This record gives sequence, structure tokens and C-alpha cells, in this order.
Amino acid sequence: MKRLIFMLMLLFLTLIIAGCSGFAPNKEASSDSTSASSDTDAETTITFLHRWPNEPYKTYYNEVIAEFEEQNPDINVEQTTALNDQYKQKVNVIMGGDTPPDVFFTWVGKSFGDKFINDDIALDISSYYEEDKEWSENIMAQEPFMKDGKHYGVPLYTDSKVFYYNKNIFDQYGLEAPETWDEFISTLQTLKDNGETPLMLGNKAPWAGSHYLTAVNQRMVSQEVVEQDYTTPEFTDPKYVEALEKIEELSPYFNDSPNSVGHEEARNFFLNEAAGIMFMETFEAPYLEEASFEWGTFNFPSITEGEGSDSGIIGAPEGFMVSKKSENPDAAMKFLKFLTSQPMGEKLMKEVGMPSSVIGAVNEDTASEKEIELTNMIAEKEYILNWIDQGIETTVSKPYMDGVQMLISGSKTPEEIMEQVLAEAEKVE
Amino acid sequence: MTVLKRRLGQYLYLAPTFLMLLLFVYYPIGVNFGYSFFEFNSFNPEKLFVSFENYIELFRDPIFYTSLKNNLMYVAISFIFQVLGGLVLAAILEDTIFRKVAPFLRTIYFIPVLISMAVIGILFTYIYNPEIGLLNAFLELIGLGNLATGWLGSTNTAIFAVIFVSQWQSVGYAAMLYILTIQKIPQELYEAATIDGAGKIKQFLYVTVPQSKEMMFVLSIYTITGSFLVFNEVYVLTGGGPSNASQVLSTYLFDKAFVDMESGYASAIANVMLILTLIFYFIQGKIFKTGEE
Repeated sequence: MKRLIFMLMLLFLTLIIAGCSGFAPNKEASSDSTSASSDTDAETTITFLHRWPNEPYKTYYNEVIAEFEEQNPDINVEQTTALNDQYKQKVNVIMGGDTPPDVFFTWVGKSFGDKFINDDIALDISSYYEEDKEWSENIMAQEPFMKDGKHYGVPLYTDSKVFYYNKNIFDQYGLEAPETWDEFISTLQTLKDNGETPLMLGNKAPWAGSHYLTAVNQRMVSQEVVEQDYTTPEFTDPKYVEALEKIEELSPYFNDSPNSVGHEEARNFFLNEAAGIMFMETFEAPYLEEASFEWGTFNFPSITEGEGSDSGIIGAPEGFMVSKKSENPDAAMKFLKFLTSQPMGEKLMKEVGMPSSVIGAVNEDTASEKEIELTNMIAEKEYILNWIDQGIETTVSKPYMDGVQMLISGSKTPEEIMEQVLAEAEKVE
Repeated sequence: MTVLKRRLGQYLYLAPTFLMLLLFVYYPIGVNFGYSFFEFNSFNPEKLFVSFENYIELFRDPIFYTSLKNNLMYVAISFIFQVLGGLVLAAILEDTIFRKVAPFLRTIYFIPVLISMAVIGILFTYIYNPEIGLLNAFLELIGLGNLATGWLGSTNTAIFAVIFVSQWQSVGYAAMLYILTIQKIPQELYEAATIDGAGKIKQFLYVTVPQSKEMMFVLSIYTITGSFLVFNEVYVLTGGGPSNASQVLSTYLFDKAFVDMESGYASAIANVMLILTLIFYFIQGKIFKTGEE
């Protein structure tokens, strides 16, 4: 009996050892066979990290990569993905490692883009911009990816945020898209009086509320001061407190307990006609195509007592960078240029509704009238304020955003929030 | 010679485990201890020596105290529900009255243990949902509609909503372990107690409880350290929000290390956690005075 057990264990051990040693060549063999089927003999492999594991984007990237590999049989593209909130953590961990991806997605501003540039993570790709003017001159919004005149990234699209409203609900109560703050409040009041949820907000992850914050700051505080505070945070202007008071004014019109609802969840509620209005990003427009109701959009209303811009919009371009540790920067750039080529830009707009940074990619063939309208709005506006959660130091934006959560639930006053923000701002050198 | 040989053999058998522990447990602990005196992030390999700065800042950080308070609440509630409640549940299930349905109920209580926390997280986000949630609908049904709230989104209820999910999941596991212990208690003890005139409750207090002491010790270590190190539940359900109200030490550590990129500070939090769990371990050892079995 004992002998039998011993023999069995020996067998087991042998299996394990055999399994271990067999693993590596096996893997190679299998990847060889798959690549052999897709493209003849791949020599370089570039890794690509982005934040769209979800449909419809997933199909878009799969198709784009397949097409790229077909055109460049010597390059293999391997993608890794994580959705928005997870991506923010993942990219921080992966980019600090020894083998970062060759091409990676980034936002612009202090939280991500600038950090990658300043900490020597992103490769200076100015020479590629110089070499291929035909390509580079056709790209909008390069500026946020630059530092000291050097290029560190390629924008994919520019994102902004507007209020989407349900026209069915608006028509029912004879409402029109509001333009001023007072009109906005009276619209919300009418909706509330009629038992509708006026504003849908999913603020579980506090960036959703921070977009309201960005917008009211833009309206209330003068452009000069805001831009100054985005460079070196001070936030001493008393108008910042008033801006928070504006959000406080909105809090009775939100859905119940917005802090316990996620943004995606809230969007689904809105699509199911659970609310009249929702503040959403421009690239979320395709989701509304699934909606059973007529919809429209309006910009964040103007505020008369504000010192800021009446018509500016919030948002920023988002795009890709090449990692400095990349062994194949040429192949990586080739892929990036392919991603931001005219046909791919058009495909991006047409298939997933993202307003591509490629000039002319958003046209009658690729976009609906409303989408063109939204894209033109972004292209025409001179004052686009970056999201506060991306634009300023995270140490400052965090208490600020948490503060907005507390403000909405009524457990903190605007003064208390600004006090905390000021305290954190002082610590920034 | 043979003695030496045998000794050597013993050590040889211990060596793999010992090396593994050394490499994967003690070495990281040591390195982490060193890291906590530096300021650095994973992008920038250059480390700035700041001596005790991280600890000083930590003990001034209000979020650290919120996290600590939440962990202690987690410990207290888990202890009551799992270590004490689990025993009561096990005793009831083992009672002769329930003999017929006991296997069925045991399975019911044990099933949550087998479900992954991510799935439970999604399940409970829907139960707690303020718009379409089952919990609020249930409260309205029984006339307690005024208690309905956004459980995970309110600063007052978020942490309790999370702790409750943990209890729901783990109480079955504790009960299962107690059931095994109770089954090992000699029947004579209960017979003797019955002859002495002890009722069900007295039997529980004077036979079951003292006889399950070893298991209580094991389980209390398991629950208390588990509650100090809890991460998944909080991360999946609230992510520490709203406004850090449901932050526990490990989620705060995670935030500091991978969101704020303050690795040194995160190391300091990790060390404080280690010390806290060690203290609890030693206190328990003293109180229960066990370990003989």
C-alpha cells in the first residue's frame, strides 16, 4: 500500500516536472501556429495598451489591428485592455514595470499625460512629426501632448461634455432646451413638479461629479484665474465657493443618492427614460442610438453672475503615447500613424462615434447630423477647459471631487470643501 | 552518526517550506519595512530618504483614522456574527429538532462561501441600488419606506452595508467548522448535563461553548486578521467611497500605492497593518491560552 502511494506521488511529481519544462516551448509553438495563420512571418511584436475592452470599441480595435497586420506582415500587435476606472490603476502599475507596452493610451493633464512626460515614461516623437508632415499636419489638438515644443503623443479624438435631454419628456411639459442658469433651474423644477427625475447622475466614481465642477468653475471663475490654478494650484478666488454653491443648488434635482449609482448604470437608467436630462460625454452619443426616444443636447448653461466664460466647453483630447523603453519605436509609430490615418479616423467616427482628431474625418458620410454638430462645437470653441480630475494635481483634485460627493449628499458645505482644497493646494510645491 | 543523519534529514524536509517562506514572506516584509522610510513611486526608481516622515504624516492623516475605525468595526461585527453567531447557528443546526432539515440548511448557509466576491459584489450592488434595489423595495413593502436610502452611496451606511455582505458570506463557513467541532463533543457530556437538570441553553453555555474553545480561538484569529486585511468586499462594492467613508486600511493602501503613486506611504500603511494584526494575534493567544491541541 505504502509503496503504491509512493509510486503514485512519484508519478505525480514527474508529471509536474514534465509539465513545467514542457510549458515554455509549447507556448511558443502555439503562438507560432496562430501567427502563421494570420500573417506569414512576423518579426516584431508591439504591445498595445488601451482602455476599451467593451463593445463597440472592441470590434473596432480588433478590425483595425487585423488590417494593420495585413498591411504590415512583419509586425504583430498584441493588445491589453482595461475599462476606464481600472485602466487608471493598471496604467500606473504597468508603466512603472520593466516591460511596459510599446503604445499606450493616456489622458492629458497633470494626472496622467504630464506625469508620463515628466517621469521619462513617454518617448519624444517629434522627429516622426517632422518626417511625415502629410500625416502630422492633418492631426488636430496636438498641443496638450506637447512639452517645450516637443511631441510626446498622438491625439485620437477630442472628448467634451454636454447635457443630453429626452425630447419626449421635454415636449410633454412644453419645455425647451435652456440656455441660462435660471432657465435651467426652472426647467428642472418643472420636471420635478411633474414627478420626473430631472437630472440623472452616477457619481459612485467621483469623476462624474467633477465634470459638473469643471463646468461651473469655467462659468464662475475668470479664465485667467482658472488657467493659473491649473498650472500652479492656489484656488483662492472666492468665486470657487460660489461655483460649488451652484452645484449645491442642483442637488435637489438629482436622482436619489447619486453617489451609490455608477455612471454606466445611470446612463442605462437615462436610456430607459428614467430621467429628463443627463450630463454625458460627446462620444457617448452612439449609445443614444439605442434609445427609443428623440433626444437633443445643450451646452452647460451660462451664468450671469459668473466671471468666467459663458460659452466655453469642458473636455480634452485623449490619445496615445509610445513608451520610452520600447524596443521597436518605429513599428510602434507606424501603428500609431495607422490608427490616426484618414481611413481609420473615418472608421472611428462611423463605427464607434468618436470624433476623430484627423481633420476631415467627421463628415456627412461618417457621422449623423447631431454628431457633426457636436464635433463642430468642439472644433470651434476656443476655450476648452480640461476635466478637473485630469487637469490638476491628484492630491488637490481628490479632496475636491470627494467634496462634491459630500456636497451632493448634503454633508459638507462649499466653504468646508474649499478649505480642504486650499490646504492641499498649499502643499504642492 | 545516525542521529546526525536523522537530524539532517529533518532539516532537509523543512528546507523547501522554510526557503519558500523566507523568499516570499519574510524577505518582502523586510524590504517593505525599509521602503517605508523613503518617498518614491514606481515610475521613478530614485528613492528619497525621509526617515519617519511617512509615519508622522500617516498618524496625522484623518483618512487613516477613518480606515482604522472601519477596520475595527469590521473586526467587532465580524467577531459577533461569525465567531459567536456562527456557534449559535451551528448549535441550532446540530440540535435534534432540526435533524431532518439540517443537511439542507447547512448547504444553504454554506453556498455563499463558494461564490466569488466579484459576483457577490455585483449581486449586492443591485440589492442595495436606490432606484431598482430589492432592499429598498422590501423596506417599502413592510412599511419602513422611510428607512430606504442609497446604502452604498451614503457616508453613514456605506461601511455597514459592506460589512453586512461579509457576514452574509462568511457566517456559513464559521458554522460549518463549529458543526464539525460539536459533532466531536462526547454525547456523555450532554447526557450528564441533562441528568443534572440543564436545559438546552445551559447545555449550550456549559458544554458546547467550553468544548468549542479551540475552534473559537482558530476562528477568531481567522476572522479578526481577515477583517483587518479585508479588501475585496470594499473594493468591489464601494471602492472606499463615497468620500473615503468606507475606506479600510488595505483599500487605502491600494489607493496610495496605485492611484496616488505614493509607494513609500503605502509601505508605511502596510507595516502598521502588520503590527496591528500581530498585536491582535498575541492578545488572543494570551486570552485563550490554547495551542496545546
